[in-house]
Amino acid sequence: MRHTKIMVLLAAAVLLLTACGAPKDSPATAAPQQTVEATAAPAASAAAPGTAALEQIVTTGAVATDNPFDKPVYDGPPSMINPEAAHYLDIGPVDTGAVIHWDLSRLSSTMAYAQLYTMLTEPEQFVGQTVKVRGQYYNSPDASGQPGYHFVIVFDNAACCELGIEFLWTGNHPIADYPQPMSIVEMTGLFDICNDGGERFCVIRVNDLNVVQEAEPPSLTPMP
Amino acid sequence: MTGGIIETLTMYLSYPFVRYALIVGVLVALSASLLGVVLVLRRLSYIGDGLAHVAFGAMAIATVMNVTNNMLLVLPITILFSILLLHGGRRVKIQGDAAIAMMSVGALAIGYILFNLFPPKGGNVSGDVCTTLFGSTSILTLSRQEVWLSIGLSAGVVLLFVLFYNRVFALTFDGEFAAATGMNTGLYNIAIAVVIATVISLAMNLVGSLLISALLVFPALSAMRVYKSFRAVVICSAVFGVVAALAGILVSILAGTPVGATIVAADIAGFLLFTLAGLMKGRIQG
Amino acid sequence: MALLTCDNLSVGYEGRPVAKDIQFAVHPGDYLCIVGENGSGKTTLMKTILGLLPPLSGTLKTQGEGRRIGYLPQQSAAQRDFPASVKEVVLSGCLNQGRGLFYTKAQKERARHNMERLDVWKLQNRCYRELSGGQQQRALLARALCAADTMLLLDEPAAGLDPQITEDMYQVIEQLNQAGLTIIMITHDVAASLTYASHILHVAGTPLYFGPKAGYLQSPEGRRYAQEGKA
Repeated sequence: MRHTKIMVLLAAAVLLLTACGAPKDSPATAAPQQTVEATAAPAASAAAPGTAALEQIVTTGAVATDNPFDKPVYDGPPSMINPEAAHYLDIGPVDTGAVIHWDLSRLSSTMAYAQLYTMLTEPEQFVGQTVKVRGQYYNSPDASGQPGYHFVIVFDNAACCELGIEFLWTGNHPIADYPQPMSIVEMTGLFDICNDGGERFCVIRVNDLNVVQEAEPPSLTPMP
Repeated sequence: MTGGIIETLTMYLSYPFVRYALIVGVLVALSASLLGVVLVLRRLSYIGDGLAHVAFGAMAIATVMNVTNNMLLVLPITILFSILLLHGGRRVKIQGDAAIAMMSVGALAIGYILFNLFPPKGGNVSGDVCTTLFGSTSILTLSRQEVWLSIGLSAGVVLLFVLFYNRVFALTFDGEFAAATGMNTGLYNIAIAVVIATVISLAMNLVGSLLISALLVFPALSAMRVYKSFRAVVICSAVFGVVAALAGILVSILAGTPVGATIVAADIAGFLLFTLAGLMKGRIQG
Repeated sequence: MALLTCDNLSVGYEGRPVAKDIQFAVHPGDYLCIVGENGSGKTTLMKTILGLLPPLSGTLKTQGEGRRIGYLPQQSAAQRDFPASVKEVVLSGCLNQGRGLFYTKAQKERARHNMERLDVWKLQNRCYRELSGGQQQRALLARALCAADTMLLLDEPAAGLDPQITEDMYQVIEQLNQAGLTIIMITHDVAASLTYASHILHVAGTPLYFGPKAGYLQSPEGRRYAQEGKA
């Protein structure tokens, strides 16, 4: 056939494109529900936005184990802002500086969601930058059973997808200082990548937590 | 006031995801508007929507089967259905539009059932469905790889279209005559079906089904209101698609509206404008 | 040396024959009119000659290398609405005459020549859908001539045209035949076929008659057909 050559080229091009589509899964898995979970939660919030992101976050600076099914162990410093610190919680008050590099509170919710997604999937470029976020507050229990991990969650416009990031409030604040879950909070802090026992995750380190709208505490009256 | 808008836009353009959205949106719009001319003139305008739903169903199957790369399943299935629809011809017992309707709705329903029976781990089903269909978050959460993919895809489509322009015209205007003069119309129809299915599958992941079907149809229809020669229609369609995508993305950024739907709104506005222009042109020429 | 020979040819769709036992030959310079009732298989036969449909049985031989046959099909509604300039439509007839992707100067010249021949050159930039029925047919005929070298196949070229335009059309076709082009034409127009044709093929499931026009008028079918035409 006269045009066999062209058709072969076309087929090759299609196959090539298939290969190119490889690493990222459907965007379906890119927008996960950031439910509160245990230690795995911070890594999960960064990892779930797509397998590619997972590879990227977990394997950068990672050490492979013998068992290929184990998650690679991250061996970066406990905190990228302050690499000399012994533990990621050991950092004192942070200096956010006068300039806010990324003000997510000024963006529409879909835009804020998108920017947070970028920050969680390509975090290296944001380390040490000042971020301002406005969203819903959630917490989750740590090993002791008490609320030990605190998150701010950003929804997109239709509230159909959500994304969260852990934040660290410097100073030893008891749980009573934190607002009710689902309160609207606003914070300005430094973006950081931390290492907790081989788990890599992103946080925002804030000095002040500004509660914009406190939520109602859960009702204790039993259902009729 | 313009100073304020420019300032806001500059602020937004500093965000990488905004730049990616602009690049990918414009490139996908370019490819789609070229292909759309062929589809609209073949009276197959609804095929974009139908194939996008088939791609969604295929994606559900792929997710359920835990296939590592969805495209391995989505692309072949969509291409198969595309060939069936575009090349079925006399041998297909069911008429074109009925076939599209059945495939479209059936794939959507089966896909959604599968997602509910076997939800992807750690997944948000309505979020998945919403993202794939309406694409508001998918176009804003693109990786650099996807930007390169869209660049490659549109370059491919534009190149193919330019090289095979005369054959595409002959095939679309009068396939029977083209076959009578010796063109291998069967092969070319399959090639067109493959290209369209590829663009739709990849674009669905980038911009959502709603948007891709609109991008296929609106530019061509608008161009045909005003222009008389095939070449003019093709060029105008491409320009229209790109301008509408650009305008839609910029407006959605500034106003905080969902990206995909805003681009479609821009397309509608453009279509009305062109219809008006066509009417006035007709009146002037008497 | 016959340009086209059909021997015991059977044509149809999907294994179901529409017309059987077709036997005729066309020589250079002939003007063959294929006549018959609706559904008798005329268009199917023409499509089989063009290679658009496979013959169900029997043989079909065309002399010379493949596709230098011009074709004027019946128009579809979609085409009437198509945004294309007359020039683009006519040029598309030159496709498949070379390996190139784009039209050569020679091909563009050929198109221009044919457009002038059919008096549509001045309409070259007009939109095809804005033309009258007669002008559209002439444009399509120009396209067919671009593709044609030796033989021209026409399927009801005067369908839907008013009498004066129809007459002009037949005149043009007659001139082409005089200039050496072999014509095979399907038509319902009895008067025209009797006026212009050199040979008649009357198909009605199986061919009722093939041969020169004079013989046709003598045959029973021919006489009945002529009567019906006059009535």
